[in-house]
Amino acid sequence: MPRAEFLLTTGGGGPLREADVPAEVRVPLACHRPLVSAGDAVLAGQKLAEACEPGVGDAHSPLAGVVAEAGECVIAVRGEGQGQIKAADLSGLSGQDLAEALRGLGLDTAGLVKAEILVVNAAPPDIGACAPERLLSLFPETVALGLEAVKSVVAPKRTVLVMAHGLGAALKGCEMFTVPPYHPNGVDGLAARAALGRKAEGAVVVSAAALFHAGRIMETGLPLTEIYFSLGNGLVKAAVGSPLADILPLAGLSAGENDRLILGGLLRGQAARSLDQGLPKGTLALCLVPHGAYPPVADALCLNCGECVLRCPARIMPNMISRCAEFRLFERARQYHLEACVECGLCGYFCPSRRPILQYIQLAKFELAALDRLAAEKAAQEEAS
Amino acid sequence: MSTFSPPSPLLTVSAPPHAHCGRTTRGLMAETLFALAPAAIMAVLVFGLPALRVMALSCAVAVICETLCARAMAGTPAVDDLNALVIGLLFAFLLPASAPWWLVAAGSATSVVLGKMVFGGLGGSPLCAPLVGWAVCKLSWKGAMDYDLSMLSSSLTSPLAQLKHLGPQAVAGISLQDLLLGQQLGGLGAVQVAALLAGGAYLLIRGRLRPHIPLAFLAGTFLTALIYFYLDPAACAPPLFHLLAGGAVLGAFFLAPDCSSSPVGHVPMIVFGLLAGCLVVVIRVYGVYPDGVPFAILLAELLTPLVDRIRPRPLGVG
Ligand code: SF4
Ligand code: SF4
Repeated sequence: MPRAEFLLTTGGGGPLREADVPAEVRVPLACHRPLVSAGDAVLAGQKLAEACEPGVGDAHSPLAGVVAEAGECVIAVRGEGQGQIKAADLSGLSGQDLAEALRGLGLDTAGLVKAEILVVNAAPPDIGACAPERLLSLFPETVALGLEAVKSVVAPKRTVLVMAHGLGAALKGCEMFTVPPYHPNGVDGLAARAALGRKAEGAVVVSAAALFHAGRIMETGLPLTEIYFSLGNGLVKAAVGSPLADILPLAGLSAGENDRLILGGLLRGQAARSLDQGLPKGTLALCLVPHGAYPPVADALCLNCGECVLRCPARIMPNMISRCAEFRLFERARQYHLEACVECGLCGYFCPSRRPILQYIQLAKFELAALDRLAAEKAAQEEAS
Repeated sequence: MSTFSPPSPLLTVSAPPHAHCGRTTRGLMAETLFALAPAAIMAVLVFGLPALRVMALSCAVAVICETLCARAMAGTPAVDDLNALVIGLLFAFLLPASAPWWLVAAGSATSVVLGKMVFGGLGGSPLCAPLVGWAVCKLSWKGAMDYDLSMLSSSLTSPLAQLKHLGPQAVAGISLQDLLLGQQLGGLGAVQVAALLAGGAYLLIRGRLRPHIPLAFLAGTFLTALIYFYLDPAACAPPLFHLLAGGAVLGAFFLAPDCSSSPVGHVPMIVFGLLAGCLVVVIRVYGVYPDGVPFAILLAELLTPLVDRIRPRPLGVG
């Protein structure tokens, strides 16, 4: 029996609210090299920073103004004056060229490779993150535009649309599939698996929200500087980099002392550091968790109660994996099929000792990726010499 | 540099998930204690104040030992998770009500130190902590641990010892009702069968205990006893007798499902339960000890790492 807490609501009925353009934005950077420095004047839509890793979208200014701060993690722009860059012409582009153009306009394109099957995931990937399905039902044409662009990159033989409520409009040329509206059914890997079974290996999965944002770029030819996400029971449209403090009041929320503000859904999202922080691109939802609502996460030992093992949809052993990561035995974690984890967050939800299991798993994945990179570099060097 | 003024209000930063089912270790232990309470009360009713003395001393020693160990290990003492109390009480349940104070103290201390803390604390031990203490005492102080010898003044008898020494005819007259209500000699809490069943049922209903191990354990005991009984009804006791005499019910609901030493998957838990239950009867039939429950569980626990290898195929692997 799925639990009531895991019901993925449609967020239906809630209005689409538009946040005002803020006086100052703080555009967060992930792995970017700034192209502007403090004091520079920028136009709305001007590129602020270039991604240093393939597949990561560049960062652009949502408003015309003056760069107040240009650091490694954030570029702040104070709104002053007018002016917008010219729209790019994307017609005639296709395949990898189009992907590269979209990346240059701010879209994350990391997962977009050639594949037999393309899965469009409109099911909410987390509790409180119903944006993908709602965007599909509100703006089917925009999503279809985005799908067309992505299809030109992926060149799939088959396209499958997965939904949790069947609310979204049908997308042309997609097979439809509905999963029961409970977390973790909407997590990308699990949704694809539910629709395709073992054929899901090697399929490319994109969120309907990503398609929508790609569609916006295709429609306007302008860089991605505004995003749509879930807040409360509605949708919000806000500029990337808007201070989180400005967004909460749109849904009548306000953060109190020691509350948690989550960028993303309840089970998988990241906690915001501060209310002044700028809204990151790729946010699907904002959730406010009151202080003391849940027992706090603890650096506690695993009792081996087995709850996590019995709940894990990937059928792995989060208890052993988190212990391996805890004691930095990352290779050992790999033997427990760490890579099968879809990061749904259920293990931590049920862990009675409140261990940060998902974080341990993410740490182990990160460290193993680094180890693999090192090993590959070493092998390449040896080959060269 | 400008002075740093923290933005107001301050947010809590934490790792995902940001929601939780609300069930904590402390809650688990508290509910286990609650489930053990009926058996503790019954023990006092049947055996009188000596039983209360043993339970209180055992719990106190367990808590003190855990605190001292945690200090020595430079860790944060976690006695407030109530686990030491559970260990102390379960160990007391295995003792005769007449146990001398030094036996209680030594056993309880061994349970906590050797059964839990040397393995790093809660969840690290490959063996069920109270059973470690029990085994050490049983092997070291045979006389004091023998239920019949140490309780000479009692009019009750230990049915399993009678079965061992006098054969099934000797126990044929014992009514199942007496066994259920604790009218037998044995561990002071272990023999409160009806109360333990109620406690176990409470944990099952509350979802604090998965049914796999207890039910598989009872099924294993019952089926093995049934086979023996079927093969030679004259030489073996009936299966229900095996279920209700001695510590089988305590083992099934409170000792075998011990978190740190039992397996975690659906199938491994069932295999483990069946195995332990089956060993109970095998030891009772062939072993030198009248009651096979503690050793059966300890033996099965040694196989836990092996049993835990029975895993479903992970998502997308193979
Ligand atoms: S390990 Fe945890 S986060 Fe990963 S799939 Fe299993 S339950 Fe989900
Ligand atoms: S749920 Fe937590 S305590 Fe239980 S086995 Fe998993 S990690 Fe260990």
